[in-house]
This record gives sequence, structure tokens and C-alpha cells, in this order.
Amino acid sequence: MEGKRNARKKGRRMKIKKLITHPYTALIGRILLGAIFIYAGSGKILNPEQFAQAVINYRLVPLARVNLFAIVLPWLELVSGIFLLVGLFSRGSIIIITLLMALFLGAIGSALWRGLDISCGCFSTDGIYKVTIVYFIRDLFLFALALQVLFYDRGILSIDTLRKRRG
Amino acid sequence: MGAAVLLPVMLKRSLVECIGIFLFATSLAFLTNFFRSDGLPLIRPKLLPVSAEDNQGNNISLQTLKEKFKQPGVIIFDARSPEEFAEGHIPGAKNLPYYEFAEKASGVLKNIPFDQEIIVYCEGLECSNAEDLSFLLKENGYTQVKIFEGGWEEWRENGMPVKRGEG
Repeated sequence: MEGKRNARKKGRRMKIKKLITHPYTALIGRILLGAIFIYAGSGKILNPEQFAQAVINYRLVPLARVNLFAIVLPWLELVSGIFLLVGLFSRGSIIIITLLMALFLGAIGSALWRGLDISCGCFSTDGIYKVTIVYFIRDLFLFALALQVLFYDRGILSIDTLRKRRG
Repeated sequence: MGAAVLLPVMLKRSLVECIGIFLFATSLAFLTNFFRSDGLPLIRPKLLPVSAEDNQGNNISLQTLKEKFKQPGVIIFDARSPEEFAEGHIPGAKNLPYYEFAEKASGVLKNIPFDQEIIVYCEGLECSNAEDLSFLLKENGYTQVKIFEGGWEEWRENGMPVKRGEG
């Protein structure tokens, strides 16, 4: 009895492990992260001043540097999002996206820690919604997904794989 | 080839991809920012320090506000957070938190002519939200913006009427 239960437990654990490390999970992660980053980046590109204001509110970037940050970050999101989605330079783009997710986590975490009463600025559609623990958990999930893609992506349905086959 | 040989090659390639994506995104960002009409200046202009003389004209004392706040045409903005505003504010004041200016300004400022006298305040002498808000208002075209420097503290300590709840 005992052995059987252990075996079943072990089997279930293997299944979960397989799911986490499966290349198809990475494919879903790539599509999801790519789409989210394209959406987030383009929204900010359309409203530069609004995003700069959101950056100021976090009080993490010196005021004089805020614009540089607000100009570059959305494009970095958009470009790496597109590359990740189509699977071109996917290694580079997933590394950048993972780093960006870590940055967002840190920013939101510190805003929550300091009790700042500010809007997230994550998507231009966030509007006046205040940054809460929900945003932190959402980003935690996306960060985990990014790590999954970073480690287990095998380049299914990607331009990288196409190029490798040809050349 | 063994993994030990491949790893440095892969790391190097990933790094090159990262740098490439970053440079590509950055150049796109600066190019579009340069050509679009609502591009941001590369260095964000500092909130201009107000000279002592200007200060005199821009500030308003409790005495003056006492007479003014009952007049029908006067507009008072509370630059503090919605929570602080709900706990108590100057009767007739509207809440326009500095940190939510980007989201709330268009709604609150609707139908207010640019030459309308606007009085702003925050917690008291030590807070800067009122000054920052007045800067934003002036930047948006309002010419008659005045600051009640004593703020909520002075108002409350002098036993002036208080209104509670969301305005």
C-alpha cells in the first residue's frame, strides 16, 4: 500500500516536472510574454508623457534622467516582445525580458514597501488604478514564466530554428 | 562537441544578441522621439526654483483665503492623496493629487478657462505637492495659479470649516 502511494506521488511529481520543463510550455510562454510586451510597449509609445509621469511617480529615477528612461524602455519592451514572439534572437530577447520583469518586480515591490499611492504605469490602460499586491503577484507569475522560457525553450515555431535548418 | 565547450559559445552569442537588441531598440526609440511632435526632451527640465519675488505674488495667506473660499467663482485644488482628501479638506476644494495629475487632469480641468484664478494647497509648509501641482498647471496654460502655503495644517489649526468625504 505504502509503496503504491509513494509511487503514485512520485508519478504525479514527475508529471508536474515534465509540464514545467516541457518545450510546449515554453512555446506558450513565448507567445504570452511576447504579446504582453508588445501590448505594454506600444501603449507607452503612444503616450510618452503619461509614461514619463508614471516613472516620476515611482521616485526611483532622478528627474533629469526620467525622459531618457521613458523614451527607451517602451521600445525595448516592444522590440524584444516582437523578437520573442516570432522567435528571432529568442535567447537575447528572453534574457532582456527576464531582466525587465525583475526590474518591474523591484519597482512595484519598492513602491508597495514605501506605501506610495501611485498608478502602476505598467500598461497605458491601467489609468488611475493604484498599484497593489495584485500587480506584484501578476509580475511574479510573468517573471517565473520568463525564467521557464529562458531555461526550457527549444525554439519550436521560431525563425531561429528555421535559420538553423537552412544554414 | 561537449557541453563544456558549447556553453561559453552560447553565452557569448546570447550576450551579443542582448546588446544588439538593446542598440536596435534604443536607436528606434531616439529616432522616433526625434521626429514625432510629442517627443520628450532628452533631459527633463527641472521644476524651476521660484525666486523670492515671484514667491510673494504666487502665494496666498490664510487671511486672503478666508475671504476667498466662500466666493462662488473661486477654484481650490487639494494636491494631496484621495485618502487624505476624504479625511478632511477645505470646503469647496476639489481633489487633484499631484501624483495622479496625468490621469485626472483632463477630467477635473474641463471647462476651466486658462485665466481663472486657481488656489492649490497640500499638507502644510513642508510638502511640495502644491508647488509641483502649480507648476504642472502653469505648464498646461493656467496663468493665475496661487499656492496656499500654510496648507491643510494651518487651515485646520485655525479652526476653519472642514468638509469630509470624497469631493
